Amino acid sequence: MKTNKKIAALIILAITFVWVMITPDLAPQVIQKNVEAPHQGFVAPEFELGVIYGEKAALQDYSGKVVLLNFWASWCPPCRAEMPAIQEVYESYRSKGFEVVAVNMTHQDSLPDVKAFTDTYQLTFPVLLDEAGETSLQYRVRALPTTFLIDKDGIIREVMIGGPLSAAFLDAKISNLFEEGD
Amino acid sequence: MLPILQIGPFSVQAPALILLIGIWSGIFVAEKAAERIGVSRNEISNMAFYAGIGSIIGARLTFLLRYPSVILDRPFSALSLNPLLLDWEGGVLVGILVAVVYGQQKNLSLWKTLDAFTPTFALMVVAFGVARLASGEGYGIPTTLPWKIPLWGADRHPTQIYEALIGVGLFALVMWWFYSKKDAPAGVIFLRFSAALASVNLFVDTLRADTPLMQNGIHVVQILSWLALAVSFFLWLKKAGATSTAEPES
Repeated sequence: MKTNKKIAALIILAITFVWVMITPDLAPQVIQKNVEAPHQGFVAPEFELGVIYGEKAALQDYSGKVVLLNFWASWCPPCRAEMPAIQEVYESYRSKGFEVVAVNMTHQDSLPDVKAFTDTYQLTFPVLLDEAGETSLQYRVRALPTTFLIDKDGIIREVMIGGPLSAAFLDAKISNLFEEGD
Repeated sequence: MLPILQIGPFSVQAPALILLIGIWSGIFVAEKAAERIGVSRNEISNMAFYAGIGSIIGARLTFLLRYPSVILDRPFSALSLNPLLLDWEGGVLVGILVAVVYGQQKNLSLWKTLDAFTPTFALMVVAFGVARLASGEGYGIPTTLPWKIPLWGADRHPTQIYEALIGVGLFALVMWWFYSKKDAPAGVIFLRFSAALASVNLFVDTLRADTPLMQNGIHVVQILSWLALAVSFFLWLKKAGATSTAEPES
């Protein structure tokens, strides 16, 4: 009886071992390289929006850079709390090829409040206005703030829902991406 | 996909909530199962409590060890409620360590304790599947099958639903083992569960698109599952042999 069980176990192990070895040929992994989706490992979806003090800007304008894409609103307390930290890392890493793209949920905000906010926090990075709410829908933003860290190849490397994010936390995540590239 | 649940003014991370419900219900069932195999219900409850506390503290400490600049910059961030400052892999390891130390302190039988927690593990498989469905993690490879789900730019295998259904099946099996096979030696319920979980993982992982791969395309999870299957079989047969020679359980 015990010998039969041993033989059965060995047969199962042998069959499953063969399965493991042939899996790459049976179901090859689809490379996500060209698929756009707002999720880790996929290409960051392209968009173009109006800039608060300027013309228009597209995500593609920042290709080849590490991008921190932050969705925010002026009435959101954690957004307010983390904005100085975002400004701080922007100043630290800008010269190395880092960009912050702050997309305001203008369809849920008011333009005077947004302007007052950017003036109060002296934001020097581009603030884009999502007036129709299409970009936040495209990125499936369901809570504020939501932040995407995008690498130089345009791949989303991290999605951070909630906040506030501290400067040190952002610094650790961004420096990791730059170290990878070295 | 439902990563955020809006409850009044609060935004709750749905995957975390689902996992908490899974853990809570799993521990509730484990307490009942423990009584059936002669393990103190209180000890199981206490072990789970300390392991839970240990894993939360461990998750924060592991994160701070990985990113020491965060704590050096803002020492109070060590006490922050922000879940982004947690490293769950490290947390799980610390939780297991705390459970082992507690078990040794209380002289609990390793195999009986693992048996008692087996329904918890099965419910965690269900919870992981549902949580991944909510967050969009663990997504499948593209398919044209009728039960495909649209996710991340393609119609895909609903691997998260497969996982949850497997968990339900395993839970039913575990409960059947508990209530019908009274003569099974200690540890056999856990080893059977491990073997069953490893076996199904070998096949489900084939359909996952975000599974880690080795250079030759072989799935890391499949290799680990195969090793778990081999170890489970080895220990299970060893226990069967020990039972046939009437060796008492320590």
